This record gives sequence, structure tokens and C-alpha cells, in this order.
Amino acid sequence: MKRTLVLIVLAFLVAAVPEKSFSQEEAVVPEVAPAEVYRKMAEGTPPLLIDTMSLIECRDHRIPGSRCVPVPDVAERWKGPEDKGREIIFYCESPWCLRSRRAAETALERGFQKVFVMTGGLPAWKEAGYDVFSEKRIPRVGIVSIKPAFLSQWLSGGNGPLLLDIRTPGEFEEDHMADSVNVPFEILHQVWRDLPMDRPIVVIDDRGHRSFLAACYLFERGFVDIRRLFGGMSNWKAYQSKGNQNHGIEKTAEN
Amino acid sequence: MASRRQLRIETSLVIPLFLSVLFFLGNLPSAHGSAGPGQPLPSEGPVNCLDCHDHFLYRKAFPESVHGSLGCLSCHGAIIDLEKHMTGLKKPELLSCARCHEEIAASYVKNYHYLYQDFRCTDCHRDIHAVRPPEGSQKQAVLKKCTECHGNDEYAVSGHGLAVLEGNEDAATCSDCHGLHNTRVYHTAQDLYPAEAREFYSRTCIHCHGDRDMMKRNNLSPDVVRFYELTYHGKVQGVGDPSRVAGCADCHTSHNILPKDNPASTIHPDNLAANCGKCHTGFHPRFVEYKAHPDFTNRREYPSLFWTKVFMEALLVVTFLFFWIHTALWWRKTYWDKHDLERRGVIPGPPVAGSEGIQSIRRFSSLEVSLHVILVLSFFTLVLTGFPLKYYDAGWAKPLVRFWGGAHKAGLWHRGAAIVLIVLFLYVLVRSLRYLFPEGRGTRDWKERLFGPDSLFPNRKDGKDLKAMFRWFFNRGERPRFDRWSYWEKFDFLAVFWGMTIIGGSGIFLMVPEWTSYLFPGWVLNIAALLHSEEALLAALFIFTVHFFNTHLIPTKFPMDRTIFTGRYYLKEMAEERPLEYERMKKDDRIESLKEKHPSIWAKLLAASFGYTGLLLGLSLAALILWTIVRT
Repeated sequence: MKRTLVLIVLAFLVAAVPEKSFSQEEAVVPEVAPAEVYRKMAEGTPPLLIDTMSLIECRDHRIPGSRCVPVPDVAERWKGPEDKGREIIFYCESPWCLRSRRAAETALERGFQKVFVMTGGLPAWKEAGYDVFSEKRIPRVGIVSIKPAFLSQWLSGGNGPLLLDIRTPGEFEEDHMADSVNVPFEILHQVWRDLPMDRPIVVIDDRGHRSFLAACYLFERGFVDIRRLFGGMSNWKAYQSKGNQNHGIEKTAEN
Repeated sequence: MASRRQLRIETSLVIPLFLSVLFFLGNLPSAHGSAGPGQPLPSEGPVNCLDCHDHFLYRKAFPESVHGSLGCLSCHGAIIDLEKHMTGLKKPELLSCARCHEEIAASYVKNYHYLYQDFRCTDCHRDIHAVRPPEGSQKQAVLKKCTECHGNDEYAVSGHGLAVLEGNEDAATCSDCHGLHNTRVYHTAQDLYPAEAREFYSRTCIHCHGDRDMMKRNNLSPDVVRFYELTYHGKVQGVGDPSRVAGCADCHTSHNILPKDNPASTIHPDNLAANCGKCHTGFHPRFVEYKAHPDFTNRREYPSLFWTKVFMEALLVVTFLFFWIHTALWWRKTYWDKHDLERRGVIPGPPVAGSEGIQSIRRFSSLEVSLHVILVLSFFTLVLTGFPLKYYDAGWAKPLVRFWGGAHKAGLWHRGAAIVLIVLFLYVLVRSLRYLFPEGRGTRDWKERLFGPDSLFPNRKDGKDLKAMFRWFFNRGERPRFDRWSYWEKFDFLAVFWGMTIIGGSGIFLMVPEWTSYLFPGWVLNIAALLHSEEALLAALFIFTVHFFNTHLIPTKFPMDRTIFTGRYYLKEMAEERPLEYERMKKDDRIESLKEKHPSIWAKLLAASFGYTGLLLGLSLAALILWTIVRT
């Protein structure tokens, strides 16, 4: 009886503690709204505004006055300003701002003091009515998006396409489609020449938001037999979880 | 409308166009004049853009396009310095279509393709220099454009897709659901925003399928939406909490919309089990016989629902007609009598002489008082959680559901209160049986007890009392002399047995619909829902009007009779209201045993605060319900 009681109390403690300690571990990066970023950019010494998307996306469209530093580069190659007290604002192209938050955390770890994330990312900036500019715009073409059911059929038919997974190596490690090739969007501009031109390609991303531009980029370079997976890997997983196990998901992390 | 818009575009274009052409031409002589040697400017005459940009597209296709009446500078107006333009010193700026297409531009900032793919006008309107009015319908043009990327096979062969291709102007093309220039995206497969997505998609379906004229001319049922909205799925959706109930697309899918006789349709009988199984688990195959939007006014197609509805409505009308008239007449009689006594200055003497009249006696045991309190609490919980769903459309429904923390939590409270009430009911049932068949005496004399003066079961005297009461209402006789329980008190008690069977039974079926399918086919759930809802109205209105008025608000008790909360009243009240019981007690010499201490001030305060809160709440709810019924 006593032991059960102690166990119950312990279970409660265990259940109650992590929530708090997790939120404490997570460095809270302060946010600035797009309107505030716009105001700051018009000031005499504007903050350092950094687009954390891939170089291809960033050169295609970004906030005027911002620089391109893809997330992996923030940790590896980016030096940052000499003045550690300079305001730095990171943004990315999703309302969840996961990339920019990761970049901001790295910057904080490296001793920069005034680090922010732009609330709502680039979509929020656009929705607020502010313009973006293009340094090297990729012509948009009609890239056919295929749904998981179709892809699944295609793959089971033998002569399947090259599955080009443009997510980060970390995401790819966690789970990916069997026989897929990982070419992170961040390095696509460096390695696209290695891709086969004699095979159809299906571009796969995380949620279906980024594969279109990657496909357009490759189309421009002559890969005309190219499609993308509608809804990305999360849509594929949702399809798989509904009992359609034709083409499995591999979990490298567990293997 | 179109011509007006065209006109506005023209007037808004012509002036700047004219000015910019003037500016362009005006610039030329000075450019020409200052032209030094080697500058590649024509020596004579105005420059024509086509002189350099000589292309079939601009020479032939553009003048024939919808923009053909405009000049180059209408869009490429940023080229104001020909010299810089021709020497390549100034690059052409991004042009803004928003200068003319303001409305589109305003809605475009919410477009998914703009926000996440940075699409610009010319990314879809790629043939911008040769844009012509679409061949075929606008709807077909949209379909053609979207399917350049979104090759949706399901849609193309669905009812909507085929109808669009056949030229049906009512059928939904891509933009009718997804928006044209304000395309929004909810990836339903990913369950990122179930509530928003379901509400958005259901609203878009209802936009057309709720349009009776449109549905009639396309040979579709004009009332599907109305009847869907009256089902549990529809009501929870309607009350603003769509995250856990089936919206249109959950059963019909978003693109594979086909009639139910098509084997590929999700609503084809063979596919229904899988379709319902997306949300429901562990049901018998006949569960799918549930009707998702039955027309209960159609006697031929849904006879059981039709007659259930007729029966319940008749029951409501008859019950209220009788009891409201009964109460009104009773009121009149009491008031008129009181007025008569006052006018004549008569103060009636106490029926019990001396101080014994104000002796407190017990009417309800503490247990009975507690049972009534639990009953009140569970009843109010049921009404406050159930009625916002019944009248999901009323202004008070949404705030009430929000108060409970959403429809799901309100539902949990509803089920919790229902279980309390069912347990209470079963306990009272056992108690009643134990009264009828006391331990040690078996079935002996049970008939005497059932029809005796202490029983809550109606007997012949009640019929006589009712008749006498009506005679008394019309001054045709004396007020009947009641025993321990009057006929309306017996009705209140026994009505609960009927009510609990109907509402409790149907409620249990609805609480576990999947299990119910092992007993009955799915359409029984439709009947259960109808019964539950109508019986709830009967019960709530009966309690909040008839029971409240007969027991508390009648002038002799107004504003509240606290007997049920303190369990005690005065001996004189017994002698006045229940003379037969009083005489019985006196004859048997049992008055002494009934005597009680006067309730304490705290008991009275508690009784008053609980009682008045309940009364006020109940009356307000009755007012809201009646107002909602009258309004619709």
C-alpha cells in the first residue's frame, strides 16, 4: 500500500516536472512584428535582417535590405557583425519560424545580445502588405504535383522516378521514403549537376511548401521531367498511416 | 457590373496613359537635341517600342489581347528616360498590375501562392501579352489553369468536374471552393487546423448547396443542408465547434464528389462502413443505416421519422395546451378570490387554532430534499449543455457553449449529468418498489398501497379532484379537498418516469451510438435524436413554466415555496392545502410524530438562495427558449 502511494506521488512529480524544465531549457527568442521590422529598416542604422531560407529561395525573393544566410551556415560559416550588441533579426518562410528560431538560438549561443525572430515570417510580412524583391528570380512553370496515392502506384510499377528529398539531413535521418535521395535545398545549387537527366524526378519536401520552387529551379536547368509530391513528407506519412503501406518509410535513426 | 468596371479601368488608365505618352514624346526632342555623336537614337520622329521590340507577340497578339487597347507604357510606365532605357542603364522595374486591378491585388495578399511560393500575376497569366477572353466558360478556364500544376484526377471525373466541363455554370470549379485570387490552403490530410479547415470547407459547400434555387434547377435536393444542420453533426458544427464532428467533406471528400450509386463514391453503400469508420470505431455494419441528412417532413421516404415528429409535436401541444390553460385559470381564480376578500375586508381565520398552526411539521425527509437538489443540479446542467445544441442558431447558443469550454466539454458535462440523473431515477424506482412491496409483507395489500393516500400513483379521486378543480376555477363549486399528494404533484412525479424512459433511453443510445448499432440499425439513432430533442423541450418547458408556476409562483406561494428545500412547513399549511391528510393524521394521532423544530436561519437562507437562483435561471431559460421558438 505504502509503496503504491509512493509510486503514485513519484509519477505525479515526474509528470509535473518536465513541462517546466523543458520550457526553461528552450531559450526564448524575442519576436518583432513585421511592421516593427519595416520601421527599423527605415532607420539610420538598420538592424541586420537575415533570411534563413536556402540561397535559391532567398535570391528568388526576400525582404529588401536583408541578407541570405541559410540556417546551416549560421552555425558553420557565418561570422556575424563585429559589434555583438548589434540588432539581428532572423526570418524564414513559414508562420512557425522554426528555421529562424534555430538560427536565432545559434546566434544567442555565440554571444550576440540583441537577437530577434520576425513574427509569422515572410508570409506575415507579405500579408501586412510589404514588398519583397528578387535578385535572381526563377521562372515559375507548371510543375505537376502528384498525390501520395498516385506516387505509391507509380513506385510499385517498377520503373519509378528518382525521389529527391530536399529536407535537412536531420529530418531525412528521422524518416524518409525508401530509395529516396537526400539533397538538402540549401546545397541544391551546388550539386544539381550530379542529378540524372534521363530519369523522371519527384521532389519531396516537408509539408509541400518548398518543393515547387526547387522543381522550378531544376526545370530551368533542363530537368523537364519533374514533378513534386503534394503536401510533402507529412502528407505521405498521413497517407501511410491510413493503411497504405505499399512503399514503406525508413527510419534510419532506429535502424 | 462588368461594363462599369471596364469603364472605370478605362478612365483610370486613359489619363495616366495620355500623360505618360506625352511625357515620353516630350522627352524625345530634348533627348534628340542633346544627343551626342554615337548615341543610338533615331534621328527623326517619335520612337515606337515595336521598332526595337519587334516580335509577333507584340505586333500581332498584343493588339488582339484584352489589353490591346492599351499602350506599352500603361504597364511599363517606369520607363520614362528613353536614353537610360536604351543604353541599359536603367533596368525595367517590376510592373504592378494592381494599378488597374485593385480589388484583385487587395485579395491577393492572402493568396497561398503569393505568401508561400511568391507567385506574381504573370506566373499564372504567363501569356500576359496575348491574354484573350477564355474559350468556353470562365469556370473551364480556371479548371484548365489550376490543373496545369494540380492534376487532380479525382476532381476531373467527379460530379463537379464533369459538370464544369459540360458547361454547367452552377457547378463548382476550383476557384468556387478555393478562391480565385485569395486562394487559401488547408491541408486536411495533415490535421494541422481541423477546426478551421472543416469550417471553411463546409461553408464553401453550403454556399451553393444551401441555395435552393440552384439545387432545384440541377435536380439536387434543395434541403440537404437544412436537414444536415438539424443532425448532431450539423448542430455541433453550427454552434461553432467543428473540430470533432463530420463536416461535408469528411463524408463526401473534397474532390471525389459522386452520387451514391457510383461504386467509386465514398457514400456508396459498399463504402459507407469505411467512410463512417474514419471517425467511428467498433460498430455493427448496420450502423451505416444512419441518415446524415434525412428529410423528416417527407412521409413517404422517412415514415418513422415523420410520425415520430408528428407524435412528439402533438404531445407538446396537448400537454402545454392543457397545463397552461389549467395554470391560467387557477391564477385567475386565486387573484379574483383574493380581491373579493380584500374588497369586503374579510380576513379568513386560521384553520388550526392558536399557536399550533405555526408548528413546523415535516413534509420531506432530508434524503428527499437532497434527491431533489441533485435532481435540480443535474437537470440544469443538462438543459444548459443540451439546449445550446438544440438551438445552435440562437444568439445565446455560442456564448453558452463557450462557457462550458466548447461543444466537446459541454457534451461531457451533459453525459455526466445524465448519468447522475439516471442513477437518481433508478434509486427512486427502487424506493417506489420498496414502498409498494415492503420487506416482510411481500405483495400483500400492494393494490391498497398503490392507490392509497400516501401513494404518488393516480387514483379515482384524482380524476374527481381535477373535475372539481375546473368547477372551482369557474366558481361552480368548492375547491377540492386534497390528501397528501395533489393530482398535479402526482403528474410531476410520474411525468419523470415517461420522460426518463424517452429522454434517458434515447440519450443512452446517442451516448454510445456504435454500441447501439448492435441492437438497432443506424436509422434508430435518427429517431432517438429526434425524440431526445423534442422530449427535452417538453421537459424543460414543463418544469420552467408549469411546475414553477404550480409550486412556487401561484399567488398563495409566490415567489417561492421553500418546503422542498427545508423539508418542513407549518401545520396550518397542511390543514389548508391538504385537509384530508391533516384529518387523517389527527384521527390516527400522528401529528405529534410529524412535529419538527423550526428551520434555522441558515437553512432558510440556503433554501432561499438555491431556490431563487434556480427559479430565476429556469425562467430566463424558458424565456430564451420560447423567444427562440417564436422567432423561427
